[in-house]
Formats: sequence, structure tokens, C-alpha cells
Amino acid sequence: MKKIKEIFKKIAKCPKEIFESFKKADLITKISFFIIGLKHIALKQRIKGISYLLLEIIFIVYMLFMGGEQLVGFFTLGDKPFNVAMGGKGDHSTFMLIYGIFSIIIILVYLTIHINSVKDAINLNIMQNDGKKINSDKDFIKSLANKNFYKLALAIPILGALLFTIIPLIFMICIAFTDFGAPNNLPPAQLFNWVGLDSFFKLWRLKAFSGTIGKILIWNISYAIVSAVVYYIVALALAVLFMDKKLKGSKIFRTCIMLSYAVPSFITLLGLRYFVSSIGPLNNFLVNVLGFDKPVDFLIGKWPARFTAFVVGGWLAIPATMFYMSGILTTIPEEVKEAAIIDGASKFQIFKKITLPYVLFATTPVVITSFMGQFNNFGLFFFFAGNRPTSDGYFLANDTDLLINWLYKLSLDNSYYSIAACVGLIIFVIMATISLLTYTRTKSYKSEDEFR
Amino acid sequence: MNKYKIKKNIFTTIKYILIVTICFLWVFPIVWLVCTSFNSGNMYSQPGFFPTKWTFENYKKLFFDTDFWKYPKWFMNTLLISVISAIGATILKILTAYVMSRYNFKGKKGIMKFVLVNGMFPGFMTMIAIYVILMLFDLTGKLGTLPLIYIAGAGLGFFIEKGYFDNISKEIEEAAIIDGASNFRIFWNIMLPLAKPIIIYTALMSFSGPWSDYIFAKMIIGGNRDNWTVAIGLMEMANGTNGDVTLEFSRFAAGSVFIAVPITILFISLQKYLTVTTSGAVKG
Repeated sequence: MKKIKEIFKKIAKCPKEIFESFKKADLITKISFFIIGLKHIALKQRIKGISYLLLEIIFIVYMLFMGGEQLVGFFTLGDKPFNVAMGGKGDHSTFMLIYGIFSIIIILVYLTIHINSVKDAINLNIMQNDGKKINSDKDFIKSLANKNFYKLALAIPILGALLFTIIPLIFMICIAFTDFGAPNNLPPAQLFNWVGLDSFFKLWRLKAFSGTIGKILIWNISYAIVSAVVYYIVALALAVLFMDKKLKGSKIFRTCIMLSYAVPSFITLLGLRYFVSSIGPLNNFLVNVLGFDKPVDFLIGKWPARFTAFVVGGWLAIPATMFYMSGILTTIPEEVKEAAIIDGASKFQIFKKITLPYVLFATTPVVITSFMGQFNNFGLFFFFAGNRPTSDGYFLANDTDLLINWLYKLSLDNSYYSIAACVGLIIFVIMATISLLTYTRTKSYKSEDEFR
Repeated sequence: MNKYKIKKNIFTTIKYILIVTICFLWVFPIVWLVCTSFNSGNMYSQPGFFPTKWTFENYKKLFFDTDFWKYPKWFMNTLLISVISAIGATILKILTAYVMSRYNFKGKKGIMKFVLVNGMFPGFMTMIAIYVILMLFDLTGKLGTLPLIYIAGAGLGFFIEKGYFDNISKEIEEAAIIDGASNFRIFWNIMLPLAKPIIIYTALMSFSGPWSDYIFAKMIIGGNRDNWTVAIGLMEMANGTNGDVTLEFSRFAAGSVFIAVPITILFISLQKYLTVTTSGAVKG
């Protein structure tokens, strides 16, 4: 809260500061408040000055011919749908929304650049008055290899993130507040509109949605908790079992477990799907060799399918967790153990009193990351249990689907975009709450937060 | 004393039985899949776990019966995409991680926080939006789009790499600065050789990513079979034709083994680097 107050204070102070420095500045700096880059050019910082000037010209031209229209489009989202009879002209709400977001981002980026250039110009003016040496073009280029190396290095990643992470994210958050999607609001033949929180209300009130999301949410959370805890315990047990230095052939054993980790998971999941299917080899074995009356349904009924998926999920997740934990196990200081042996402690006592507390302390974050990973374990329920038919009482989902699988089916398979975006935001809220509650309390996060 | 020894032996035996059983559980599905790839005909000719008649027929079909299942083409597509993405993504990630670890600048905390928050959104919630953006630039259905997306997404996943750079001591750099090296030279001549393990790790991860990416590849490439990747093709094989999964399953097994073997060998031979990095990423 204090921070927010400070920010507001700063903003409130801003106009006064700007006005004062404007009064103090010389003429050319004053002009640079509106036509940026002039002060730089006047002081022979040509590269910077000309780029600033060009940016301003490009921005103004863009706003006049495209940006303004796009910005308005962001709010209206169009009023005439595409119509073949009218020669295929009309408004495409999806594109209008994304162009609108583009224009807002361009405006924000430009404003930041503009403000920075003005600040720079004021500084230059002060330096000039004080008679200090002003950096030349050469110095500027040199600084790109030194002090400003980070700007050069981060330019591409930030551009990539902006285009393919940040803008898409903003777009999807916006979608949650529109009615974009089947059945009545699918561009180009139809338009969609801003509807505020209507999609959330729909998810809450319409029985088809609310029933489904309730059931999926309960299953999703319980699956994540049970699997995180069980996989953790099994992985810990295996790590201890495999850690024994006297174990002969431990390398071969480790490689065996490693295999399942190295083979791409969608391959093993698709393979296992056939493996346990009613005509698959496991059932053939059970019926023909062990004499079962009929094939066991591993993937058909609700609970059998859930349980099978849980086992297969463990098969996939445990090796990585196990290797991670054996890494931690080897970091236990040997001296402590030796001291305990000298004091006459038994093997079991050492494990109980030294190894276990240490490991539990060092690996609690694993349970949390594992929970988050399992909560969104899309692959398992898509490749392994994904081709099960829609279940009774579920809307476009089956009873093993997690929220994220439902999101996929809603949006990519069935075009219920706004509802899917709402589901995505719900997943986000759950993830954010859990990480806030847990991460901030663990010490390792706090030290991670101390950026160097 | 003797009693103690017997007890110990029994304990050891039980332990070995347990370990072998566990290894069997983990290895068996993979062994089964490999064996199935040598099955002749459809899956009905393999009533048990293993083929009754062993052949190389599936592998031959994989590479020569390519009118409908264009496996060689998909394989080359995927190889190309993976190599390009691995190179691009590794350069980008290492550079970003280095800068995030070594420079202090305005907005650094903001970037770190954004990456954390972004990780809480379900991964492909944004896929629709990415698809729309690609449509604007007329990039959908094209093979070149995939590495572009993989590389663009790589810049933000720098946490493990940053952790590694954080652990390299700063004194070496300070000495170089005194000797008059520019920041770029420090990065190129000093940091990169020191960061070899993490570079190998990053390259391996960015290389193996595209091999197993089905969702994204399928959405962007769509129905054009010539531009498919191996993952899309294998998924279609596993789904079978007209819902009959038994028909193409042996072919699926062969195709899977063919791509899984190099990746698995790569992983196991570079195992050393995998553990180096995970222990480097965990700070006390």
C-alpha cells in the first residue's frame, strides 16, 4: 500500500516538475518538449537526435492514417459483419481487437520514448550550462558495447515476447470480457462485443457450464494434491533406494529409469494408451494367460480411467523428481553422518534423524512445483485419456479432463472462445493464489527475490 | 554375528528384487514399444506382448510407402525446425540470462516479475491469439513459422540459465575489466567458455522441444500433410484410420522408435550436463 501511495505522490508531483524545468530551459530545449530530438541534434548527438525525430514523424503519420482508426476499433469492435452480397466488405471484430491492442501498445511505447527523450534533453541543457563534456556520437556507439550492452542484447527477446507472449496474453484477457465465440458471435460472418463480466456470469449461472466446471474443478484439485504427494513420496523412496553406494550395477538401474524420461512423453503416452486398451496387449495377457473372464476396462469407466491415468502420470513424473532428489541427497554433509556413526547411531536412526529431516526441508518446494505441474498436466489427459467420449453431465468434456483440457476443447475444438478465456483466467487465479501463499513463505524464494 | 549376516543378506536380496521389479516396470512399456515396431501385419497378429513374427517391414514401409504417411518428409521437416530453433533459442536464452544475471538496470525487477506471473497463465491459453496474429502476417500453415514461434518464446525462459550465471564468480570479470576488456569481450571470451555445460543443456532442451510438440505444430500447420512434423504424423497414426487403431499401430511404433532412439542416446550421453545444471539452478 505504501508503495502505491508513493507512486501516486510521484505522479502528482510530475506536472509541477515538468513545468518548472520547462521554464528554466533554453528555447531549443523548450521546442524539444514537442519536437523531440532537436536538442540532441543541436548538441551534435546526431544519431540519437535523428532517430528521435524520425520516430516522432513515423508515430504521427501512423496515428493519422492507421492508429486513430485502430484505437477507435478497439472500443467499437465493428458494426457491420462481413457480407458476401455486399462484396465481401465489413468489420472483422477479431482483427479490430488485435489491431486495437497493437495501437495501444504503440502509443504507450512512444509516450515512454517521448518522455525519456525530454528528460534527456533537459539533462543535456543542464550539462551544457554547467560546461560539462557532452558525449559524442562515437561515445554513444561505444556505450552499446559496454554500459548499454544490455539494451542491445535484450531488444530481440523483448520484441519476441511482446509479439508472441504479451500481446496474445492481453488479447485473451480482453476476450474474457467479450462474447466472442460460438454460437452467435463468430467473425467474419458475425461480430462480437464488449460484454463486461457476462461470460463469467454465464459460467456461473448456465447449468451446462456451471455443472461442468464444478465437477472438473473438484477432480482437478484433488488429482493435483493426491498426485503431487504420492509421486513425491514414491520418488523419495526410490531415490533413497537407488542412492546406496554399495549397490551393484546402479548405473544400469539408473539408466533404466532414465529411459522413460528421455523418450518424448507423447510417444510413451500414445503407446500406453494402446497398451491398456481393451484390445491391447495387457488385456490379452490378462484374459489369455491369467484367465480373466473379460478384458479389464482401464480407460472406459470414470474411476478406472482416472486411476489408470494417475498410475501412468506417476510413471512419467517420478523419474525426473527422483533424479532431482538424489541430487539433493548427495549434498548432505558426510561429516554429520560420520559423527553420528561414531556416536553409535544405527543406519535407521541416521536416516530418521538426519537424512529425512534434511531432505524434507530441502525438497518441500518440489511438492509445490509438482502440484502446479500436475494441476496443468495437459499432456497426460490429452494423449493418454484424450479420445474418451464426452461424459454424461459434462459440457464438451469427459470425466478425466482437467480444466486445461476443457479449455482446449472449448476453444480449439468448439470455438467457445470467451468461455475458454474465462476458464484460463480461473486457472491463473488458482495458480497465482497458490504461489503467493506458498512461495512467499519459503526462504528459498526470498533469497531468489534478491536480484543481483 | 552370523545371525546378523543372514539378516543382512536377506535384506540385500529383498532390496535387489525390489529394484529389479521397479526397473522392469519402467522399462517394460518401452521394450514393448520397440518390439512392436518389428511386428508384421496389423496388431491382431501380435496377440501377446511380443510379435509372433519379427520383421523390418514397418521400417521399410515407413520410408518407402509414403503416399499417405509421408514420414521421411515429416522427419526432415522436424529436423530442420529443431536445428534452427535450437540454434536461435540457445543464443537468445544464453544472452538474456547473462544480461539478467550480470546487469542492473531499470525494469529488471519488472521483467523478472512478468516472467513469474506469465508462468501462471495456462500455456496455450494464448494460442488462439498467436494464431490470429500469425493470420495478420499471413504466416499460418507455413513451416518457417514454427521455429519463429519457438525462438520468440525462448527469450522468456531464462530462469535456469540465469541461476547458472549467478553462480559464476564475479571476480574473473572484474579482473578482465581492469585489463580493459569491453563488456562484449567479457561475455564472448570469458563467460561463454565457462558456461559450456549450461549451453549444452539449453541446446538439448530447445532441440528436443520441437520433436514432441504436437499441439502448437498442429494448430499452425493444420491440414497440409506436406508440412507436418513427426509429432503430428505419429499422433494421426496412433489414432488410426476410421477409428481402427490396430491398423497403423506397428507403423506408429516404428516411427516412434526411429525418432526416440537418437533423442534418448543424446539425453543419456549428455546426462552429466543435465545433472550439473539442475544442481546449479538450486540456490541454498
